[in-house]
Order: sequence, then C-alpha cells, then structure tokens
Amino acid sequence: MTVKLRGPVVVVVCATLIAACGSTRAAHHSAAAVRSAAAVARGGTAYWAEQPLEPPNYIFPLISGAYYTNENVYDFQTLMYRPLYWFGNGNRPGVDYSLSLGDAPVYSDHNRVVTITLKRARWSNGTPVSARGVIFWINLLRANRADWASYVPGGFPDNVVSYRATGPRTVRLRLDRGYNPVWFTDNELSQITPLPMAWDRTSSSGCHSNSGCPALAAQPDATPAGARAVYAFLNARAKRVSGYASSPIWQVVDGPWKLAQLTADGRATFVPNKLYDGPDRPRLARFVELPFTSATAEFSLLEAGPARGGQGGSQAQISVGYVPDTDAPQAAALRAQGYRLATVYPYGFDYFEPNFNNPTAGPVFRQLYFRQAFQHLVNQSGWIRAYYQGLGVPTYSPVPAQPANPYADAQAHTNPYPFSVSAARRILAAHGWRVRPGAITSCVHPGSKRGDCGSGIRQGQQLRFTLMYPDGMSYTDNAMVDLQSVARQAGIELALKQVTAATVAAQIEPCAPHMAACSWQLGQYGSAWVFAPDHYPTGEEIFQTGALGNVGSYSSTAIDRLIRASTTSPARDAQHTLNAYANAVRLALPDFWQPSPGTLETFQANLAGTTPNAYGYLSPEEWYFTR
Amino acid sequence: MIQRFAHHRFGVAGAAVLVLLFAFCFAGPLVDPTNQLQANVAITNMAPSAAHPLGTDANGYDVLGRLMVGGRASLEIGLAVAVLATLFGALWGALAGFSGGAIDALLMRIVDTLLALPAIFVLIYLATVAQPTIWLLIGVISLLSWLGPARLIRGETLSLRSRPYIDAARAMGAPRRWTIVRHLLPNALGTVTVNATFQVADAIVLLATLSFLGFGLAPPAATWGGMLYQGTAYLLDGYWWEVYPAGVMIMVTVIAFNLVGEALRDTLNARTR
Repeated sequence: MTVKLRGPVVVVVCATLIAACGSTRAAHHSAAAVRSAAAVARGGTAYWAEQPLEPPNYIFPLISGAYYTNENVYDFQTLMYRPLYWFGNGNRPGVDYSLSLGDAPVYSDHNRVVTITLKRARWSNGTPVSARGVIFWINLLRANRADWASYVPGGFPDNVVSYRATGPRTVRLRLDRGYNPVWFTDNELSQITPLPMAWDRTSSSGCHSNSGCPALAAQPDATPAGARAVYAFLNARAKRVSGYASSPIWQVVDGPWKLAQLTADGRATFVPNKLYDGPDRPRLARFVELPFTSATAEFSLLEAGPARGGQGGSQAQISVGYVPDTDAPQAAALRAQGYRLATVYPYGFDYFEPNFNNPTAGPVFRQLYFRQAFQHLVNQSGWIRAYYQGLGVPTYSPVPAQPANPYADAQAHTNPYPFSVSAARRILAAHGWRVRPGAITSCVHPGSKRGDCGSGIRQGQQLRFTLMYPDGMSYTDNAMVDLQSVARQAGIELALKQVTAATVAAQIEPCAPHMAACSWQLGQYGSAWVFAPDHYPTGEEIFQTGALGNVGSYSSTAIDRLIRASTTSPARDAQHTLNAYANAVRLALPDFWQPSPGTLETFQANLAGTTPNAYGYLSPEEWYFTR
Repeated sequence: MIQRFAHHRFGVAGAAVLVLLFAFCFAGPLVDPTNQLQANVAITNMAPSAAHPLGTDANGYDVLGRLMVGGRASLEIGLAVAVLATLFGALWGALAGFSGGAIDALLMRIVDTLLALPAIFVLIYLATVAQPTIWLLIGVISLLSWLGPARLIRGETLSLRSRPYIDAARAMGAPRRWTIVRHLLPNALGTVTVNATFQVADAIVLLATLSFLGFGLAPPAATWGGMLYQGTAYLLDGYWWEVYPAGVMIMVTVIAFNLVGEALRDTLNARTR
C-alpha cells in the first residue's frame, strides 16, 4: 500500500503487523506541558496545506487499501475518530499512553492473554467510549478482513483466538500463542479504533440502542452476517463524500474535532467537538485543510506571506505548509517572511528493490557479493548534500537510527558499505568478473566455486540492468542519474526507465521467474517504507519470504528465523532479537539502501504547539496562537 | 535562386544562425570538451564561472557542454523527421490529389482521422509503454507529422493536375506513377521544401514538449527540452542558467528554421518572384 507523507516523501506503509512499542514515555512535548496561559490566544483559524490533488475521500476508519492514504487516515479520520493507542511522542517514535484511549495493555499467561482497559471518554452523542465499541471494531474486522488495509493472513485478528468485554471498559483477548508484547501492542493493537454503537446499523433508519434496538450483545455486528451488512452500509456511506458534514453517522465522534464542511475540491473545515473531554482540547476555533492542484501552487501561496494572527480571515493563507524539495534553497527567504521552518523525517527507511526472480538479473542479484558491490556505488552523503538540499538522513539499517528512537542500536549509525567505486570494482574482480570501467563488465569465470561469478550466471553475462523509477521528483531523477554514471565507472550499465508512479506501483510486484510480470529488474518507488500503522520496526512485511511487501522476492531462512524471533520473543528479549534481525538485514542487503528524504515544513510564526508527529499524525488540537 | 535567396535578409540571417548552431552542436564539443556522461555531486547547480561559462546543472553537468550535446539530438531528430514526414506526406498527398475520386476520398479520410488524434497524448502513451530512443522518437514523431504535408501537397496537386503539361502527359499515355514522379512532385518541390523547414522546427518543438513532460530520451542522453524540464524545478531558486539557455536555444533554432522557410517560400514561389 502506498501512501503519501507530507512534502515530497511518498511512503510505502507497512500495512500489517510489525510492532512494538516502545512505549517510552520519554519527552512527549504535550502542548499542555509547554503552554503558558498568558501567551495563549484562544480561538482563531489555522490553515493547513494538503498535498497536491490529495483531498480526503474516505471517512470510515475501517478502510480498504484502495483508500488508505495519509490524507484519509492521519490527516482526516484520526482528528475525529481516535485509535485505541496513539503513536508518536511528538517527533519521537513510540506509543503515547497519555494521548491514548486505552491504558497500557497488560499481558499475562506467557503473553497469550492481553487485557485492554479503556480510560473514561465519551462520544459526541453522550454515550461512553466502551469495551463494546472495541468488540464492535473487532467483529467488523473479522467479518470483513479482506477490506482492511492492514490485514495480513495470520496477523490481527486471525491471531486472536477469542475476545470479550469483561467489563464496561475492559476487553480481554486470548491469542493463538505468546507474542512479543511490544510488537503486539505496536503492530496489532495499533490497528484498533473503537467505534460508537450508533454506527451498529444496516440502514439510515437503522438499529441502535438509542432508538429501542435489541440489547448490545444482540446488535447486528454480533453475527458475521450482521457484521458484513453493517460494514456494507457504512462503507457505502463513507464513499458519499458530499454527505460527510451533514451525516448523523459521521457526526458522532470521540476525537477533538468535528467536520463542519468538506467541499468538492477537498477543503475541509473542522470545529472543536464540544463534548471532547480527552487530553489536549482544541484551542483553535476552526481548523481548515486547504486543497492544492500542485506543489507549485502551494508554494506560491506560501510566498505570498504567512497567515497573520489566525483570526479567520477569508483570504487564502497558510498557517502550516510545506516547501517542495526543489525549493528548499528558499528557506532563508521564507524565514525572512516570518515563517518558522522545521524539517520532518518520517520513521522509516528508503530503498530500491532488486528483483531476485528476474530470469536474467535475478542470478546476479542473488549473489551477496554483487549486492555489496552495488551498495558501494550509492553515494548517500553526496545525494543528501546535492539532491536532497541537505534534507535527508542516510539509511544503513532496516531499523533506522533517525529520527531518534528507542529501537535502533549503534549499528544503525554505521555504514557497512560506504561509497567507494574502487571497492565495488575490487569485489567484482574477485568474483570472476572482468571489470571494464566505462564499458560493460562481464563474467569470465562462471560457476559456483570460490572466486566464480556464482550459480546461474553465464560465461560472458554482462552487468546491464534496467532501473525503473517514477517521474516528477527531482531528487529521485537526479539520484538515479548519479547512480547510473557511478555504476558506469564499475562497468555496470543501468538503463533508466522513468515512468509514472502508478506504473511503478503496478509493475514492481512479487513474481515468479516465468511470468511476464517478472521483467522488471531494479525498481525504485521514489518512496520510503514508513512504520505506520504498524509501528515496531520488524521486517515480517517486507523481508520475510512471501511477505506482501517483499516485492523483490528476497528469501533467506536465516532472516526469516530472526524476524520470527523478533515478533514472538518475550519482552525481556525484545531489543536483543530486534538488534539481531536489524544487523543481519543491514549486511545481507535484501534491497539497496538510499537516503530518506525529509520534508521542510513551514509554520506561521505565532502558531505554537506544532511539534510534528513521528508517524505523520496530524494534531491541530495541540496548536494555539500566541499573542 | 541563391541570388534571390540572398536578397532575403531575414532568410540569410536564419541560415547563418543555423550554420552556427550546427557548428556549435557538432564541432563545439571538439573545441570545448566536457564530460556529459559522468555526473558530479560535488559541483551541482554552480553559477557560471570561468570553468563552467554557463554553470552546472543539478547533476553537475557543464551546461554549455550539455547544450551542445542536447542540440545534436534535437537537430538530428528534427531533420530526420522533416525528411521522413515530408517525403511520405508528399507522396501520399500527390497520389490522393492526382487520383481524385474514391481513392482521394479514402486517402484523405485516413489523414483526417489521424489528424483527429491528439498527437501529444499519443506520444506520451507511446513513450510510457516503450523506452524512448532516438530512433523511436524519430519514427513516432514522423508518423504524426506527415499529415500536414500530405494535405498541403494534395492541394498543390489538385492545382497542378489541371495544368496543360499534365494534360499533355496524360494524352500521350503516360502512366500515373511517371506523371506524379516526373511532373507533379518536381513542380511541387518548392512547397515541399518550404514545408520541410517548418517540419524541422515543429519536430524540435514537439521533442522539447515531450522532454519537458519527462517523456524524452532517457539519461544520460540530453535534449534541450529535457534540460528545460530539469531546470524549471529550480527556477524559483534563481538558477537561471539551468533554464534560459536551453529555452533560448529552442527558440532561436525554431525561429531560424522558420526564417529560412519563409525565405525559401518567397524564393521558390514564382508568383512572388
């Protein structure tokens, strides 16, 4: 599943499991903690720039892959419908229980039983956010799992043997085996969004407890058929974008915001939910998401100057926006105009994929020495400086070191394959290749013995590959051109194939060698893998044999074993198993690491409380204007 | 004829510019050799200096050298398209115009149908499904460019075929092919030549458009349109040398070909002599 993060970063979100939690209650810069009452100006309207042509278009939190975008989930739904657990301690990865609907889950019976306790909270129709609402969500998920963007066979809810409400605010899950509690919280429980029982209906006139319907246990969602019917009704309603603001269904919220208006072009206006009694109640009078047709249009509006005071003028203005990557050199000019700027890095890593099953290139990619040589050709620091305008962090590990997080060990900071054309040449020459800088390197010692090219590689086979990548992103264009020219110095010919992002997404897929779809050789999404909504940085979705996100068909029993250990180990071993997995993958190179670009965000100078969330969740309830 | 052309000052100026352009693109790299295959992250987006008179681009390529290399592709494609499209279009139009009747109707309805296709979308589609190469671009742009000459030459043929010398050839039993090749096309040569010069300019603009949209030749090949495409991303950053030189080259080349075309038309057209 591909979703866009703010700014130029396009992310591939791990749609499923993964994990963990972190839970570090570290320094969450809660707005409440830093507010000075004297400085706060209540009210006002903050304007936030949407990504170009990415208006919200799906409101129901049980969302299918087709609608799963940052714009729908992190920038829209979660303003109104809170997930059970809130992730991101400000800009640090991890769960934040102070902002969560649930207390920290309690694991027992060797991590086979999870007990979830909800805090006191209420829906905007006055009913409590209850254990039954959690059961409602799980019921819908079990009956409609194919429509859940984050569903992975064997994952949540398949790994839940039984579940029941043991009290008005307590739910107990029995699991099919013991799991790493950190992983289960961050990647499985993270998928739960309690729902209002007012939604447990199969028609507009439908059946809910407020209108004399059956007891909760007998409500439609209690049976699989009923749950399917409820989902069908809600899903159909969620596709009627024009009715969001007036719908009595969607107006029942437990988050800090209610949707007041959504125009056809995607301008969304939110007002505070007056019954919201959770943390960080909105100080703003209104929050407006502004649509744009292009990043240039957004930047042009930014250049017109920051919004002033935020008192809700009708003129177009931006309180929080983003600088397109190529316009990063304009940062100083924007600061001079009165903007505050901050660089945001999503918690993830960036990479491009070799197709291990391509009939021609696959045998070459399966050689670890070749992957090591090729990784030596990626000039990460050079790219960051020249193409990312300094707004990037290098990737050395599948458990990224930046932004600072509790999961990465010291190895994540070290590049095992630093940029070196000579190292690449040396490695190839030592493995049976006649290296011809500026021409094409070919195999002169086929075979599987030490010093040979390796199994499946023919005598005379040349190192030429096609590299497909999406158009429209300057830093990707430039980085791939640099890689092409550097590879030529090692005698590797890269034919660059620039296609649309949709074509990339359609063509970079797992495949068997005999399939026509297996013709792609190297693929670049122009995107990063971001750990959301599964927040623990394990690799079962991207590097495990057969995983949905393992599009290059990498397969290693050793890596598979390490991944399994990282998801099932007891809590005391969690970090150890995660480190072992991370270090093995960083050296084994199931893909090629490249820098992860950041986004330069702009903030109106007198707008405070705007600490970006590590996973991209939007939290305007923390924002406020200062006098 | 050369004398008549020489009296056409703008035409002469256009021709001179073209000579300079060809020298710049094909002989320039011999005088000022630059490495247009090796990107260099250490010298990206550098302002003009003694080492790089027109600065460097986002990949560290010398812009002046890249203009030379990019111009080669643009001129080669433009000329090849002009020759192919004009030849094919002229033959098609002459056949239609001379034959008349059902054949004319059929041939021209084919032309009308193809003209109805939005060329830019066809090109983008083809460039998406196939890796653009110089030969592919020549072929595809030619396929979309012969329609204009076909209509033009058909009109010219309709006019020529009622001339006495054509009637005479017919009366003497000359075969249709012989009449077209021996009488019609030579007499339409002025129109064909003039059109060919405009075709070069059109093809260069079309190639620039394609490249600007990101569907031109793949790196490390360069085209002026591609340079423009890359440079516009940095326009707001003040890197003017990455935008304007390529834009100016396209503009100057197109104007030069058009001036030469205008002058040729005046030179070859008996009515304006």
